[in-house]
Amino acid sequence: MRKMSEVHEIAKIEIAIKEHASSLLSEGAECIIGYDKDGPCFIEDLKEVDKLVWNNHCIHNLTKYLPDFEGKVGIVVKGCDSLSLVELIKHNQVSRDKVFIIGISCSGILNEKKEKYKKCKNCSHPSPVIYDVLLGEKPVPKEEDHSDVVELESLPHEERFSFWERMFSKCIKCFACRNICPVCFCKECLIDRRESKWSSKFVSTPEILTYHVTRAFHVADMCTACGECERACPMKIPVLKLYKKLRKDVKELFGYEAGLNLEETPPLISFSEDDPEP
Amino acid sequence: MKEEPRIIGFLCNWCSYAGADLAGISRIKYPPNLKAIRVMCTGRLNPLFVLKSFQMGADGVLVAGCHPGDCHYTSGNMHARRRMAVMRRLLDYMGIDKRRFRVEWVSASEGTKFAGVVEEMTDELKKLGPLKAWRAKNEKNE
Amino acid sequence: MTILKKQNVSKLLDELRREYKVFYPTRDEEGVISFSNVGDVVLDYSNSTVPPKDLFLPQTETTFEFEKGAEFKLRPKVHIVKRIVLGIRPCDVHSLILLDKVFSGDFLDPYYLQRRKNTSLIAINCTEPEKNCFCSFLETGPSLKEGADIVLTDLGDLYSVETLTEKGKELVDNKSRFFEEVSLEQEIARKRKAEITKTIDLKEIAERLEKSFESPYWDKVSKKCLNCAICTYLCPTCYCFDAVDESLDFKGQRIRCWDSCMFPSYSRMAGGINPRATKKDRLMQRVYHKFKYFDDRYGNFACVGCGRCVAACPVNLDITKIVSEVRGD
Repeated sequence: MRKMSEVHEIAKIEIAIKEHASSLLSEGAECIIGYDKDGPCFIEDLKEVDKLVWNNHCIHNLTKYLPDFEGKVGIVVKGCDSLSLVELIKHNQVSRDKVFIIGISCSGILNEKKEKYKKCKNCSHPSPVIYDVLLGEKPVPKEEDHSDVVELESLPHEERFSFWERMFSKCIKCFACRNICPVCFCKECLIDRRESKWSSKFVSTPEILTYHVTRAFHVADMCTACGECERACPMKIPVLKLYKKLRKDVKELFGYEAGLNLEETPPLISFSEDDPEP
Repeated sequence: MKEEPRIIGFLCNWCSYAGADLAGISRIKYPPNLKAIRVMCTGRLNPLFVLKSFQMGADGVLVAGCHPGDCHYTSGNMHARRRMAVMRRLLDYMGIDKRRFRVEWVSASEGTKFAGVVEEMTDELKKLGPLKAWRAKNEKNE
Repeated sequence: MTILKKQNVSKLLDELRREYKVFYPTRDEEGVISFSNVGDVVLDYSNSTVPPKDLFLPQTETTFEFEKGAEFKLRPKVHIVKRIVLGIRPCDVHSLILLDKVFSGDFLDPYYLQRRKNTSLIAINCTEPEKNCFCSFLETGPSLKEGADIVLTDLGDLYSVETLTEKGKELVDNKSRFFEEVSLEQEIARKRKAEITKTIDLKEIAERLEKSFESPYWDKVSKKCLNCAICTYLCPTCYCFDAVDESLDFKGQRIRCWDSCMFPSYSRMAGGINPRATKKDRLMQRVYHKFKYFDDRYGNFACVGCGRCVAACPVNLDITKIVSEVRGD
């Protein structure tokens, strides 16, 4: 049973979101990207503002949709989403002055079975790091949990490969993980460029691995572990286990963590004289 | 007959390829297991070339460039250093032993060093065995 | 009536395996259910994550190999292995009936049809539909009346067995030592542990779709679509495919593989022209195809109400809602 105070809190946040949405739209914003009872929604008309909700089922990372908009938009972001937003701004996919960020501090999102999502259990940024207005009480941040990565790193190489082979042999190359990822913002993906022949159309495990290794490398210094890729996968492949390894490496090698600092240059487009040897 | 390890070597034109050339001219003996692919600079290398090499039958990959600070294009190798560092660890995590993928800095005068690296790698790969698991075969079991 | 005791299922399976390749639902460590011929059989499941269409229209297959030597050689690869699919649900059986119409038109597709011809279906009626199931509205379930060779119904610790075809009758007769004849006192009604709760309004859908072709409704509803292929790949009736030739050194193969109308590059033509360049166009195409174009052409909706697209969509797009809501006024 949720505490009365929690229910109040959620209701207050929802009212505040609607108020901000109404005022933004009245000032000429193109769209408000928020949540309705069915997930992501796009409010372009004052009459529809009442559709907006806030509750602890609002799992989607809405920043994915930002690069599609040209004019001024308002967006609802949770802590984890705000990290992706920082990366999008850093990589010039979104202009800071064209976004009004309605930040929400959240204490965890529940899935259909009313359990907390795995990523919410060890949330290191429950409060948005970038916002124009901040709603909700700030929970205490926790340490990011790398134990699943460390566990796999401790296995011998054959076992590591068997694990990934078993996982990725299930993959049906639906590309949901790529399409839902906010930092996979290429207008045309390498894998879709058939002419370059990086990948065959034959869907076998080695080809599937090519896609996943490619994507992992390409987002290495941008992934914020928002976990949407793993949530979207219809075959329940733990892809986040792969991306968290890259985050860990980028932190160890270059002391960089994606999503925290608008000024910091991403490591894979820069270098330093005293970089560690590969 | 035991299968010989196959190494693909991406060598930068100005330093490591010249170094390999020098090893040859100086008649330094080293195993014939490396196939050299000359690129103008290690900075040109897409890290996916390494993955593709393993998928197409390589047992080991060597990326050799100018020493950091001496790149003919000033900083190509510096970018390569970062990219290959990330790729090496990623492939290791996926099951390709770190010892199969080496990044070395070999200057045009270091013929002996080049031969030494190839010798070391060949020996190591003979111990590690062929990398069959990653070969891309377009077959599917019905 | 004929019955099959649950404890005899694995023995029957072992016996069938000696003559046929048998595919049945299996559950992996993460809870994903798929049809496989290795592993433990799972029959108390709602439905598989990936539909069994993969067994008839595989995600990837080589249709022929070619080689250019002194002369040009072409080797078709048509698949002929006797198979049984055990545990297929009524909705998926109906999806195969729909796919049959597509692949036996003016051109008879040998790859699909050979597989169909050489496969017997042992279906299982649904007694516990999931929350996203809406087969009853499409008349494809939860009970099966045609399309499979044998139909089982779960009655607790045994299955009632009904043969629907000659092939099915022969199979039961051949393996009669696993089945029993009993006379049960009361009429066994196909008791359901749960009812179908999802609804879809199909009234006058063709007219509504026609009227709403230019409606702004489509812009609104398609905005959140990610253009991945989940709905199409998990759909038991989606059949779009791509064919590419891949070759190296004068030897190669033609590959047929699943493709999705939801991918932006699906309809892109040489020169870069793309008739379905926007999300809205692609979503409209999907809904119109399922509920109008296929009906116009083949006389059936191309949807069997399995609910997989609804359950798996990462942004909660729901085709039943769209079809029920679209008005065109």
